[in-house]
Amino acid sequence: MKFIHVADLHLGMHPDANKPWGKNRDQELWDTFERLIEKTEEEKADLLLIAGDLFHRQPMISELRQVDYLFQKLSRTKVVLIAGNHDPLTKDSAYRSFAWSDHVFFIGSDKVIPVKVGDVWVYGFSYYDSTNPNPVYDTIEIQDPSAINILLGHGGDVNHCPFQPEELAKLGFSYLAFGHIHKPDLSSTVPYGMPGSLEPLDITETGLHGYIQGEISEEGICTYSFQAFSKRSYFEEEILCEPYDTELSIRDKILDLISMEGIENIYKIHLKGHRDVDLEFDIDKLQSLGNILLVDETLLDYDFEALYQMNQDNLLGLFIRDLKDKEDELSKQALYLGTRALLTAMEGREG
Amino acid sequence: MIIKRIHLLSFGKFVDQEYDLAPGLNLIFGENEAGKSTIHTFIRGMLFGIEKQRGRGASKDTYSKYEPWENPGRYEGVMEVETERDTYLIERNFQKDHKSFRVTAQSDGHELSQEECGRFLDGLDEAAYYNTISIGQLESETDSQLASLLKNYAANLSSTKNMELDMTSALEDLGKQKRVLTRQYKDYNRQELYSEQSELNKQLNLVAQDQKEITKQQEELYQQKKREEKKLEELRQMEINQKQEEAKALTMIENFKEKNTSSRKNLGKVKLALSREQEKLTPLLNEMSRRKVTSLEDVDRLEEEESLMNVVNWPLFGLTIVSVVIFILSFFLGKNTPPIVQAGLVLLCIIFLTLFLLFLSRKKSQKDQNLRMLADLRETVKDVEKTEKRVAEGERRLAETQDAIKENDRGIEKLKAKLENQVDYQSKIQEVHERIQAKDSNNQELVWKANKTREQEGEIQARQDEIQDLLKKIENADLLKDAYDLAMNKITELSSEIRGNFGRLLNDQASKYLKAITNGKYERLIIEEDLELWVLHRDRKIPVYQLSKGTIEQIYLALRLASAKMVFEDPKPILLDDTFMSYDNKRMITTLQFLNRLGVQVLIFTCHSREKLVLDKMQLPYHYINLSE
Repeated sequence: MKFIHVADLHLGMHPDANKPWGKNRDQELWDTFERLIEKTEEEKADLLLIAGDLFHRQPMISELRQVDYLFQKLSRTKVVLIAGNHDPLTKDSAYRSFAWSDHVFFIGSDKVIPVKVGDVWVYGFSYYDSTNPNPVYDTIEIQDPSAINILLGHGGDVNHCPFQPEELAKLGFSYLAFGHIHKPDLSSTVPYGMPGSLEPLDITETGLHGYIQGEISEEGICTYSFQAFSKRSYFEEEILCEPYDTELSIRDKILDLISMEGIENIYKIHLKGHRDVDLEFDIDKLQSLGNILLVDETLLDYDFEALYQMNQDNLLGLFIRDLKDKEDELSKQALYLGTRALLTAMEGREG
Repeated sequence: MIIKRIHLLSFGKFVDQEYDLAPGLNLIFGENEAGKSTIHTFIRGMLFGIEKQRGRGASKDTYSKYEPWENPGRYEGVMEVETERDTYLIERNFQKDHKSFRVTAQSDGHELSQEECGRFLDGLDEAAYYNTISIGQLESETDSQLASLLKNYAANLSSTKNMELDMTSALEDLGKQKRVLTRQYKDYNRQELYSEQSELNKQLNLVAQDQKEITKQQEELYQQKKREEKKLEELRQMEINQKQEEAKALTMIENFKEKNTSSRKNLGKVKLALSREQEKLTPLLNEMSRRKVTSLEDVDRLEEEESLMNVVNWPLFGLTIVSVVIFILSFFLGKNTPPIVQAGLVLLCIIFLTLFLLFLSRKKSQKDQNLRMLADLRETVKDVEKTEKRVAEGERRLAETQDAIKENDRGIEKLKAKLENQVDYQSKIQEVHERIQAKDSNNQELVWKANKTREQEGEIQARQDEIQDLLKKIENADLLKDAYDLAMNKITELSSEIRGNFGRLLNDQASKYLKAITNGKYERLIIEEDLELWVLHRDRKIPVYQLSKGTIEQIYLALRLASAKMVFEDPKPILLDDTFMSYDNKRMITTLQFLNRLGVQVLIFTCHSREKLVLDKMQLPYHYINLSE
């Protein structure tokens, strides 16, 4: 039995909404979902498991129709889905009244119940609210151990049904299909997978994003692997600025970085190191080289030790003496600002 | 630094006048107008140059004042100074069109470059010169003005001048940068941003509400549309039915019409037949009325009568029987009976029998004939009855057919009426179509609204992200502002420290000098934080403005000497210009003794002879220059 496991698609979200590349990001979430359906069909999977947070907020009926329309393109796959903490089954949720196609199974119970999907039993539950303190896993009992049993769940942190994969595996599930954490996590000791968000949703979600594909043999042995699938990835990188760097050389360093990793990806680049005192970065211009958020953390190129030695008997020297050994950011900044101001004053005077 | 020699080539009233100077005390005596200030100015000019002023003060400026009378084209001088490093020959041409300045090191004869020229005096600039070395008189000020002069002086000492300049400039710079930074974010109020964030959250909630509403409405529309579609189906079906009914009705009408046509044809035939029958009937009826028979019963009655008619002639019969009996009897009785009688009996019998039979047969045949006639009559009556029946039948059929035709006509009328009352399903269907279309366009509207909510979500999200970024930027800016404050405070703090240190050192140094100059009368000069000056006299603190002018002058001298000592590592010559004017002798003695002990080159310019007298009296070594000679 072949399955594809996704979660946390967060359709309806507008990631990076105020950034230039954010204008179409919400549509890209849908596009990738459609691509996933095509892939599922291509792979001739038997089961498509969606472990919650399909939507980022309550879906509208027209959106559910859209999703069901995409599901209808699956000729042999059965779909099982549950509601997560972002799209819970509140009392007026559109999920409640929506009639899915016959091959789509929505487990809308707030307690874990088994649902027969083809030859497989899928145990699952949905969120009724944005947090879930209920001990949903305490009362699970597998009714037919000879069949293939899969647990479809959502959660993992303190306010959202925390669980231990090892404990749940003991119950006898062939595979534990979970959602909620946006970073992919596959266990090699127990059959447990968290696919992470299908498309990364903000700068903290660096790394690969995609789905989990797996097979469960007749004896219930599960093999599975992670497949990268997202259109874009986030990268958080540092670029070192040397005192001899210029605006153009920094520009080239940035271009090298984004060409190597892919210009369609989204970057947060920290400029670190020391820059020449005359160099001021045109942040906007550099950011326009790609999908970039640029943070200038460079410091002016001052050799404080040398400056101190040369100015021991004057204001600058005393100033450096008092601040150069301080570790905190405030003092470091003050050291730079004061040194620059005093050097400018001294040069002005001597000139 | 020591000024070894001054050579006024052409300066003021001096032409080619050379004076050597000694390391220690130098007394330069000159009556008024002898040239003391010229020498003063010369020394200053040689060190720093004399610029021709422009504009209003031009005619009275220093340049013009000392421009040589006799030979204005030549305006130059030479001065030899000895510093720690080397002995230098300074040559200057003050003439504005031929300005030149040259310094030559005597050790190897090399000419100093521009840069070296700036440095060979070890930081002695014009300002420092005025503030420390060149000590004129305090002009006759009031005591308190003097005191405040002193105070200002203390504040402006040149050692910290650089520091003060740097501090001022740096603080201004930092202040400006901080202001720029503050201005950048001054329009942003954290509180406002926070409240905007919660506003935006509310708006998101409203959008979510809208979406729920849209979903609900779409559901309703969907249900309504389903109902309408069902209705449409029904109407369509009803229309089909109606059409079928219509076709049926038309067919039926056709049928009826056909039937009526054939019926009408039949009618004709029947009428024709009827009339023929009627024709046939008439003679028969006549026959019947002739026989006075009206019905079969009559015939039956007649037949019965007839059949009952006795065909037997009873008398004959009786006779016959008798004869037969007699005959028979004759047989029995008679063997005796004569055969004639027997034959006669037989003959009688036969005659009677034959008569009887003849009668019988005649009656019978008559009866038969009558019966036959009656039978014919019966037939006739039957015929009549049949015919009458037929006629009645025919008339009935006629009536029936006419009824049927009427019936059919009525049927046709009804059907036609019904066809007239056809329900206009088309327009009903059209209505339903329109309603469905209206629902579709309502749905379109809702879809459009739904898209709008997605746009709104995007916008709200964008603004929220913007606010997040802004808050972060503001936070960073605040940190940066704090850094500016820290830097500025640190600089201010250090400046005070430096000032304080310098002040303390100056204080100490000036106190030392003061004590020496006043011969212990005033042990200490106290320069307070606010630069108020006090002296300590036998454990009593006395504010300087309460002291005499002479004492204040001494304090002034002590201060300037102390600051000169502190500012210059390499001691510079002190120029005292008629300093001792307001000193009494006692003071002058102690001061001159002190100056001698000081060990720096002192140039005392005076127009009095007092100083010489004291110096001689105290046997203090000095170099004497009389400008009048």
